[in-house]
Amino acid sequence: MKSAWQFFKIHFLSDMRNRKSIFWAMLFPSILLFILVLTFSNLGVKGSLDFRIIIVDEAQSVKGIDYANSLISAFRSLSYPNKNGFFTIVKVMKGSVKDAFNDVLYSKADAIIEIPRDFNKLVMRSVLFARLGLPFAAAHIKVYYLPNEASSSLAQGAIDGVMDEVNSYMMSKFNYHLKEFTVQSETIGEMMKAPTYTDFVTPGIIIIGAFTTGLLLVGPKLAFMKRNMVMKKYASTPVSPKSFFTGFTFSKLFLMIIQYFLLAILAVLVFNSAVHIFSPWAILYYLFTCMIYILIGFDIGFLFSSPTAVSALTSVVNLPLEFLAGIYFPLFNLPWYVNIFVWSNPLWYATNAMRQFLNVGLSTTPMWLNVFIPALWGMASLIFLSTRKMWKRI
Amino acid sequence: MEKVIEVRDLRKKYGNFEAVKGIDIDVFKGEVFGFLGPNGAGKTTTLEILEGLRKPTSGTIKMFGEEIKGDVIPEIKERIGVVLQQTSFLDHLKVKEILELFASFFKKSISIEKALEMVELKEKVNAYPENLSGGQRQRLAIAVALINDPDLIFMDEPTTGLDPQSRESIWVLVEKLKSNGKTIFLTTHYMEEAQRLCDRITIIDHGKVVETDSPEHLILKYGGESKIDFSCTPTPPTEKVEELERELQGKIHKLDDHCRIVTKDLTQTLEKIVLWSKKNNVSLTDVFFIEPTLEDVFLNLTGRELRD
Repeated sequence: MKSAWQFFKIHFLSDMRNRKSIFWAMLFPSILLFILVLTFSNLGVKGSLDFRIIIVDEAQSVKGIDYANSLISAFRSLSYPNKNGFFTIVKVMKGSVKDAFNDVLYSKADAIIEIPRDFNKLVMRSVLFARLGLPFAAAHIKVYYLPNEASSSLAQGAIDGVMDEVNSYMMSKFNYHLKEFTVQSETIGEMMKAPTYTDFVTPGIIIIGAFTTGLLLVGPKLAFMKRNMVMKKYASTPVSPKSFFTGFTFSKLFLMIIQYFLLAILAVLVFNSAVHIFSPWAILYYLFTCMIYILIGFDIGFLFSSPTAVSALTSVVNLPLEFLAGIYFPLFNLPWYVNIFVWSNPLWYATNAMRQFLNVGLSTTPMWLNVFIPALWGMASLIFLSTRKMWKRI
Repeated sequence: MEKVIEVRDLRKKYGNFEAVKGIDIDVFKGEVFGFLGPNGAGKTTTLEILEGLRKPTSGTIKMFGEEIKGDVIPEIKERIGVVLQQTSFLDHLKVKEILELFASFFKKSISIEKALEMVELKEKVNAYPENLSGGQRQRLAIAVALINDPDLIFMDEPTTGLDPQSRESIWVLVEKLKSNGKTIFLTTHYMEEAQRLCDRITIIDHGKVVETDSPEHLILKYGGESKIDFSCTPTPPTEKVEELERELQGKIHKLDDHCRIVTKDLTQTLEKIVLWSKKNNVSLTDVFFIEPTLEDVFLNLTGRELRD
């Protein structure tokens, strides 16, 4: 225990006194947060995109009249594969809108159009009242979407945008101008409001910070110790490998905890982020992922003996994983072969989970997968390490 | 005499390659034991087995009278200190912190002040190793090896790459450790170092022990003949040189600007050269005697120089 504490102390001190370590562990993620927030907080999105829509028809027909069907036809006319399509209708279903929520949560669709139960009744009444010159309550539909998912937000905007054309369709069909035919938007889940870009990016930056620390402060340091016979020197003494690995690991973990609070406080105090930094689940999950990143760092450190090779490999591993984690921008409309990398990327799951735990938005991947996939990486790293006979391989 | 290390028929194989082929070594308490061999002779492998860094394929090792089976046990490691060939420390740690770390590995340790005093680095207690000179860093490495007050110290080429002054300070330190009763197992590439410091030397080659003895005996047995280098003014004619060759019953080798004669009897040969010079009115200039050294022993025993 005494030597584990000493290992913890000296590795922590060594990192804290090392300008490079401070840069990568503290300054780099902070700078990244600054740059991204300052650059993209007012980001506007333009362009032609394909959104996947589910239509849930809850409307009850009134005396055999079904305006909802006409509305669905209107949406179909505006969808692919029509020439001027705005979106793709994934499916039209009867039943409750709640049945379709998971499809949006797990990225099978971008938004849901709900045609409410009283839709036919309201349209019928409004047509009649309009002919009689009486005031009437317009029929409406609801659009459900995820505000923290760009594709979902854009889909909601697109539906809002095509409502004029839907109205025109309805007018030509019933010879009446339903100009008060409105769209009501609802967010899916418990989210109170759409997150700001700072909220969106902060969980990912926290994850990147931990990942960078795990890779850059573990792998190259181990390679250095191996190359320069520091490990050999330890092995010639009675100190146990357990003491070394415990002290070393906890020194990195402690650094990562400081990093978490530094970044979270920076986001909250400087950028007015609404992230819940003291959420116990967020902290627990963060510690869990930190352990995985440290293990990956161990793998890289023991795979190569040259610190330069380790640094190069670290960059090669680091950058694609970061960009395929949906940290800076939401990931959507990716080709299947890129999606394979996304689905196997532990940073993606960690970012999704942290967004939910920090109360930024619902995770777009099931929580069990957010635990399972990183855990799988951890297990693979452990198995690899056990085959390397770390302590003896000096 | 008490044996600190006793090795019998030590073997180590890496796949089909046998690096160590049945080595026997005895190291006695309080001696400086030199372990010399050209590169690839099996020296490092043997040393690492003794330090507990590798397992032997077969053979028996006793340290402090206790047989080592498998890994070197912590109780033995408590009594040994290791100075590796190349010593690096983690950056951004003070000398004091490094010593505190290593002290924490052992049940008993000496104070940091004492360890630093022994290697004359007391004033560097708060310095960073990256700011120390090569010689000071090596002395720090020795302080680290001494922190547990070991009975046996392994030193793997402790002065390689150091300037003559730093080397001298390490030699003085080794002599001091010896006078304090420590047993030292030393490998070196410097014959001068082995000759000055070692009580006994084992020379290994191709994984086998070639010879073990004191430096003096090794030189007597295997050092070969002495050499006398001399120059003459004026340069004697060839027939006069041939006359001297007949007198000495040996060949005179003409080198760049001087002559060399190899002899078993240094005094008698020198007398003959002096007489010859007087007789022929030739002045002897630049007379040098080259006595056999461990380098010659090594060359004669292995056919290679130590650094080959």
